[in-house]
Amino acid sequence: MVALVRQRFPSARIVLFGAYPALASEHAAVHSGADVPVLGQIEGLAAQHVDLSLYPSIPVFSYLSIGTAQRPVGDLCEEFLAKVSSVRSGSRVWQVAFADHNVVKRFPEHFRAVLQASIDHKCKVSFFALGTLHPRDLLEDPELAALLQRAAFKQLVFADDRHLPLAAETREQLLDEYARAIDLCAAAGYRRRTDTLVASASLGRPGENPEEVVAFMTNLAHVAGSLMVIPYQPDPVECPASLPLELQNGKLFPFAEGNQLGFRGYQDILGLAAMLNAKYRAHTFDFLGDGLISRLVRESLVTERWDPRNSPGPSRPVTVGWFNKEGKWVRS
Amino acid sequence: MGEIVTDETFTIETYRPGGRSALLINPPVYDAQYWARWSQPAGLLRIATLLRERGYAIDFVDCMETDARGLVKKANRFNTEGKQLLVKRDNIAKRLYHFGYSLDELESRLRSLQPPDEIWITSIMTYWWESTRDVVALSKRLFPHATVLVGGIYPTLAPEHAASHLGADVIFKGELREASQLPTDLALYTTPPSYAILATSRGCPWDCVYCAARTLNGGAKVRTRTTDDILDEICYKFTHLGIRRFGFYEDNALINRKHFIEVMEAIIARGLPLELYAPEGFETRLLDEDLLRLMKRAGFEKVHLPLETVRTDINRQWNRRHASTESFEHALEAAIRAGFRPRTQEINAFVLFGLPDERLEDVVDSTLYAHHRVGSVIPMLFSPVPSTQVFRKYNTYLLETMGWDLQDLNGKFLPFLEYNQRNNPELRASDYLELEGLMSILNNGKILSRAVDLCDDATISRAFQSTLRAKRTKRAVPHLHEDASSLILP
Repeated sequence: MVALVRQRFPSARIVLFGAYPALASEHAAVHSGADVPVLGQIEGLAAQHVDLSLYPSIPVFSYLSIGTAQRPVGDLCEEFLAKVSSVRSGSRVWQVAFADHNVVKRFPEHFRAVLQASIDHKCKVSFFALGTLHPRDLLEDPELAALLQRAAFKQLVFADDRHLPLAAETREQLLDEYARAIDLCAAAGYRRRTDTLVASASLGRPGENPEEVVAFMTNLAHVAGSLMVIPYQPDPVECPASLPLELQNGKLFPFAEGNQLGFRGYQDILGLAAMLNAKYRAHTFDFLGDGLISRLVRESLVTERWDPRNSPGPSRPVTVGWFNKEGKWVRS
Repeated sequence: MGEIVTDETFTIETYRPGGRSALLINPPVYDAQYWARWSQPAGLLRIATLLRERGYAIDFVDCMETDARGLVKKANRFNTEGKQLLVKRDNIAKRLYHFGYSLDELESRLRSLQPPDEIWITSIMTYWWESTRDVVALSKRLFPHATVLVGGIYPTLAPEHAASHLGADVIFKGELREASQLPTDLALYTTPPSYAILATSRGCPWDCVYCAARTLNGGAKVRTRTTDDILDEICYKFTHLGIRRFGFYEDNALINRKHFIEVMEAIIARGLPLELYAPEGFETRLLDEDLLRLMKRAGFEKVHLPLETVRTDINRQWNRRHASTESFEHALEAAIRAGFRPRTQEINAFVLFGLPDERLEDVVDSTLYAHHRVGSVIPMLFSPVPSTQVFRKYNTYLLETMGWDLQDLNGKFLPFLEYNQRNNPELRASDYLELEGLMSILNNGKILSRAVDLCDDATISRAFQSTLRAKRTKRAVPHLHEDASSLILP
């Protein structure tokens, strides 16, 4: 892109910023071709309004970013209300998500003020929590689930577990938190085992035990209902220096071989996750549930009763043939 | 009370071109679900060809005609008090919908037509008879001088019911043999469909307890259509209507294997770039690698295998003497060698459930076996159909003990739920939704277009099985079905 822009506008100063130059500054300086690769964050940028007027038509979706607690609450609410109510060519933003991680804990006043503004102004807007909410947030404030429901949060995709140490007891604790948080959400009106409540788990960390990951994901799908697996995206410093940046893509599972599983094995985990998250009539199937079918599936899988070689009953020889036009049986 | 006629007692006269007129109608459908793919009123469209040959001027209204996306209209059905119609079954409720043209739309279309001399209405599933009744009433009101005839599967399987409930003048029971061998007249559609339904043969020598083929075909004898005739129809539709996709709807296409091979070879010889389907499946015992290779060359991209159950004893109970897991395995291996890829929906297996006295563990085992061996599981929810052995055996229970009529015997409404609860008090209606859900999610768990196998010995499958073994029992999570079409009841 830089080369293309340079060719088209040779005298323009090209500024490159974002995650790439911030995390791999030397690489960006050497390889990007930009005049000014911005190394690190641009201070105060996150507190600025997002200028949606640059789009030919206003997008239906927009992030709200707090960035720093210093941003006045009123300013954030003003931006929110302007986005969701401003009319340009009859269009407006109607889907909103907070961009800040751990937003409830870091910016409780901002978060609640925006939600309250939306409720008070009867904004026709749907909120989405895209990894910015943790199950523990709901446990620490039992009223929060009801507030989210009132403010029209349509989907709660909980934060993934990348920040956690991976000890078994940590996982047990997280499962327990999920179970209790989902109970609170269900009591507030969210439907279990649907796309409205989604647990997240990262996959592909260096040193992870894939079998433990499978067990964790299966239990997570059991307690939370829906499951989103996020390939672990390593920071360049975590990767061997010999591994080119473009191969440090989490979707390629750069630590697969080191984890004794290989890329194919990781694809199998993604397939399993897709199955755990697949919906029928908007609901997932609970392999660890207490219902009749769940129990029968477990029994059949664990005992391999599905295999006809393991079941009683007479067998029959294979017969291949057909009736000819005269109606006589002809063996092949 | 309509007069019941058959092929032997009914004659279609020949007229000068345009000397008599007929309006052909495919009615809408009242049901909880409707699958629009491969649904074409083939019998009615063959009758159109016959009537045109006999000098009739034809008008045609297909209330189930799909739009450009392959979908039909869907509207809620309400009772006279304006309340949504629901079918409540134990702890679930299913909404009833009107699929296809509304009766107002149909009336508007019919009013734009010249009054016909005859109105031919097809009626397919026995549990859809109510919409046929409504179309007969509408036709009678708008065209009081026309003779209204109803034919198809419903009047063939339940002629007395049709005669007493529909209000039609003539109930045609059985097959109109003169029409059976004719091509479907797809030119009647303003926009030609993207596919055509074909039949190379009729009849099946077997008598599975749940199947009505013998009644529909007037016995067990298998009759085939000439290869030239079939190819002429395919070529005409390909050349004049641009149709490349053909679906074979057969009772048992391979019983006369030589004939089917001739058809495949003729298609290959003509060099037609066709996509062929047989969504009703092939008898596994009669499939081998050579035939499957030939089918693939002719244009089959998918093959459907009727597993139905993995239990030999159940196959015998169902009088499926010709079917076994071994022959299924044999056909599956042959399909794989012929180039059909398992775990991709190129090979699919039917699993049947919802029958009286079934054990759900057998259904689950069959589902997991099909998942493991094939990858794509197609659920077949059983409906007791008049004239079948199952229907005859449970007729008194269904119609008298339970007090149901044919519309209640739709498999989606679980007609044997209470019966099976006698042996399994724990069984709930929602368990059948769970079972459908299981089959669905096993098919959806794909990555890189390949279904994951929960039963194999790969590291991840073993880890998953191990997790199930060590099921956490600390907490039980309530399980609910509350979506729009399935409502949990208090």
